[in-house]
Amino acid sequence: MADALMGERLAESLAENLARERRSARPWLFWGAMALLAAALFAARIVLHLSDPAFAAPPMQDIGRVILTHGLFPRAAVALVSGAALGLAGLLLQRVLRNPLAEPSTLGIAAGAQLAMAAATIAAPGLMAISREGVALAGGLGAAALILTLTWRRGLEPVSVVLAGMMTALTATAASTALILANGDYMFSLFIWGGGSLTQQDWGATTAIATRLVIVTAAAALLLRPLAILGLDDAASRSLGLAVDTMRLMVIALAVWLASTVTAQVGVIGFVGLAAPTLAHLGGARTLRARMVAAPLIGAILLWLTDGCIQLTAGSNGERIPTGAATALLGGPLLLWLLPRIRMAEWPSLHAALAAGARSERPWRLVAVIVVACLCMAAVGLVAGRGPDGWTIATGALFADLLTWRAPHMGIAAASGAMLAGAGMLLQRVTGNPLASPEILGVGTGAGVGLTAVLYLVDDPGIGIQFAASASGAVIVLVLMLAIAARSGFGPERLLLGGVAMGALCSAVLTAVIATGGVQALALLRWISGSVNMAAPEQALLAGLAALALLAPLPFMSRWLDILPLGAVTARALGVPVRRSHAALIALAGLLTATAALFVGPLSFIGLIAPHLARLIGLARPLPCMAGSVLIGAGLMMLSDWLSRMVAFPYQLPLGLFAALLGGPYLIWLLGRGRAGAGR
Amino acid sequence: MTSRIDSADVSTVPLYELEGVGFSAGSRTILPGLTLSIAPARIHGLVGPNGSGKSTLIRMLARQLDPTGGRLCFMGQDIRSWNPGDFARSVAYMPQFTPPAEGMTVTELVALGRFPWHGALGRFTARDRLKVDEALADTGLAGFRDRLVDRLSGGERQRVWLAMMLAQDTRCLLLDEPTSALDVAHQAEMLSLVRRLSRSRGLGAVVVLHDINMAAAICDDILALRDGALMARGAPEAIMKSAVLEELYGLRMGIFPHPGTGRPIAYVE
Repeated sequence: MADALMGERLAESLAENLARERRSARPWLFWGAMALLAAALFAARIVLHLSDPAFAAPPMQDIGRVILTHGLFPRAAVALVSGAALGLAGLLLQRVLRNPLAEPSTLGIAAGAQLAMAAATIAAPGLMAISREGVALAGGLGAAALILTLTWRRGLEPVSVVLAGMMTALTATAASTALILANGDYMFSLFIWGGGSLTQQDWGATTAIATRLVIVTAAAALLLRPLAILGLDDAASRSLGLAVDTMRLMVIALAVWLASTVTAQVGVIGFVGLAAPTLAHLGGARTLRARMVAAPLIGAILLWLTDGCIQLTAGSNGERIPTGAATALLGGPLLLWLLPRIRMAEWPSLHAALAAGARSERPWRLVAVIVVACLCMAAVGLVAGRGPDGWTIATGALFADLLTWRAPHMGIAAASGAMLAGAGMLLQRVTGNPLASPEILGVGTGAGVGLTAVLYLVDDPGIGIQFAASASGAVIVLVLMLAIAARSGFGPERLLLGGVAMGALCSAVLTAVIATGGVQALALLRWISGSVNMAAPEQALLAGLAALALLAPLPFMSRWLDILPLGAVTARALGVPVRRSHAALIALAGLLTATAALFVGPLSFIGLIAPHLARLIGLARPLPCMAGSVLIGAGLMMLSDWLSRMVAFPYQLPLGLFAALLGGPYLIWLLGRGRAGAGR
Repeated sequence: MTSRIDSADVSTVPLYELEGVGFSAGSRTILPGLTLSIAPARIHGLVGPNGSGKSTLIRMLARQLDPTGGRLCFMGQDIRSWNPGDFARSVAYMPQFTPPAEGMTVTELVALGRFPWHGALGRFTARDRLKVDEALADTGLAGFRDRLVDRLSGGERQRVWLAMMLAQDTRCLLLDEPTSALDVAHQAEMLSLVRRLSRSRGLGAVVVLHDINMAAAICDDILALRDGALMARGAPEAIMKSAVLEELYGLRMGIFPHPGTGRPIAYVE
């Protein structure tokens, strides 16, 4: 704690220095240069187009001109207005929620809009024809309303809001992906759109976004004073005579409107809404007024620059990498670099713990109950199922037949669930942070990037090579994340912000690769959704052995796991080798995650949920908590596996996706339930 | 264990010796260079205005911060050359803000103090249990054994952390503002407990204190820091003079004798 404080103070003084040195003309020069660079890229693109011999001859000249006026110019314009709109939306959301992590994509607004549009495309295409924007707005408002309802009772506490937002976003993304997978190839274009493609045919999108931008900017300018007061805490705002709730809802609605318009017109563009206000702040824009000018400008420059780079690398034959994925590629590293330098002093504390259940008197009896439940689940999964003529209980020869098919499934599910839960428990204890988990920290997607690399570099890689690659991806991401977080003594703010950045960064790589549409793309899409359709007995055996080998050291680390949640200061005072124990535990968590992710994909939430559930039912001490988490993880994954085979019989839904759909809503509900039964 | 010094030496070897120990963060110098020594089995109070470097100094003594200059020795050995286990068996440290111990009972938290003795894998022996029981008894927590730490009051929680330090069975206690979150009654209780334990167990202690009167009441030796330098040092009677305090706090201060005990009491004029 004191260590965190010390780190905070150092970071503050660093940020002060940084801000002082930038308060001069430097930010203007820097962003001016960036704008010039973007303009130069755009000019280069125009020159390239004008000098294109294909459009030199008279009949083609007109087409060339049409492309220029209806393609290239609107594209630049749409990049500028979208960037500005997202920058403004991000700034407004961060301000009213007093939450540095708030932006359209972390709050699930973009994902909600995307899900609504995917669902409408399939179920009610007519609705999409009438008003794309209306559908997107409904989805975005739905997501925002859900998050606000869930976290209202906790006073919109930043950690809960972000967690609910990320859960909503990931669940909505999982649902969209499921829809895309279930509807085959023709939905593939939706996936590319999901990545935020700025390709334009006319000025429609530009005018639509620009008008919204003007209206919201005007409204925000009118609300400047109340917005400035909202930056204080609620009590202070109220005592200054502000109708806090009305004001807040109004501003949120404005921001959602702006953000969902962008989503409807060009798709999901992450990061700009997060990065622009942060960069504005770092550039020395201290007052709200200054930030209201700076954030949209920086957003516009960022997106224009990114789009310029994309067009440059793609050449003239049309690009396949969506710009929205590329903003994350540029913005992610930027944010990771900035993270230790951001001043956190005026940010609200995120240290509040999540609800924990009453501590159990007899933890081992509880663990025994969980063991029995797991065994029951395994038995049900192996025996019960849907056949062509309804539900059946398999016995005798039929059972033997089905066993060869069902057992590997269950085995892989149980092993992966156990490993993810173990990793989640380790990370939560090491960081003393209830939100740390392989999914939230981007470790799972890091494994995906490793896998991607090997799929491209090696022809038909075996499972061993695939494992090595995804393990190194996961461990690299984890080490990077924790190195960043360690600079502030594992402050939850930085860890979360870093996790969001890292997750978005890795998903961007994956999205970009999938959007290329090659053989590897399909393999990756299947991997992301966590499909175990091809489960073979050897794989199940491998997963089981890996789980046993990697989980075996856990009991020997229980003393460390007892002390480390108390923080580095206490751990050091008690003589725990802090660095060494962190390194060992983190490496183990990385290996566990990578192994599990190889089988069930990166999104499952089991690593977050299982340790939570274990705490919730009252397993507080490391050993029972460890056993409980691992068993709950295995059980939940088996349940997901069984349900994913039963729900849409005879089709089988991807296991990882299904686990996410099962776990996400539960966790969101858990958050909304508040802290009933908590200690303080 | 080899570095343990037999009891004959304990009373003569200073706990800490500092030679020009300095600390700076970036371009800001917090401690330019301190030279002093700290004797065993006595209570030393670190006092001074905000930003005088008290907390930085005690963190360096606890090995939570590395000095950026000078030489800092503990028990005659450079502090960096101590291995973590041996050091934790010799020095116990309570930070200014104790972390929340979610879901832990009093006994469990106090038992963590035995970690430096049994390590990550060693057995929790009868001796460990005995030390924990002693620590609980000495801090008056015997009736609180199975209570959850995060449900206790601030004063009780502070006593639990003190009990954990005692269970660590060290020769030196470092306390960074142990009373900052407590009301007057609990402050007095906590500090008299520290004094009593230091006397009965022969422990050396360094305590950062905000309240100069509290410091004068319990300490054997007061170290007054200002702007990272040792401005004055001595027994409470030597420090509790208006001239010294005025220079320390930059404020006119007066002294009058305690009506009951005759101890000097400082007040702002």
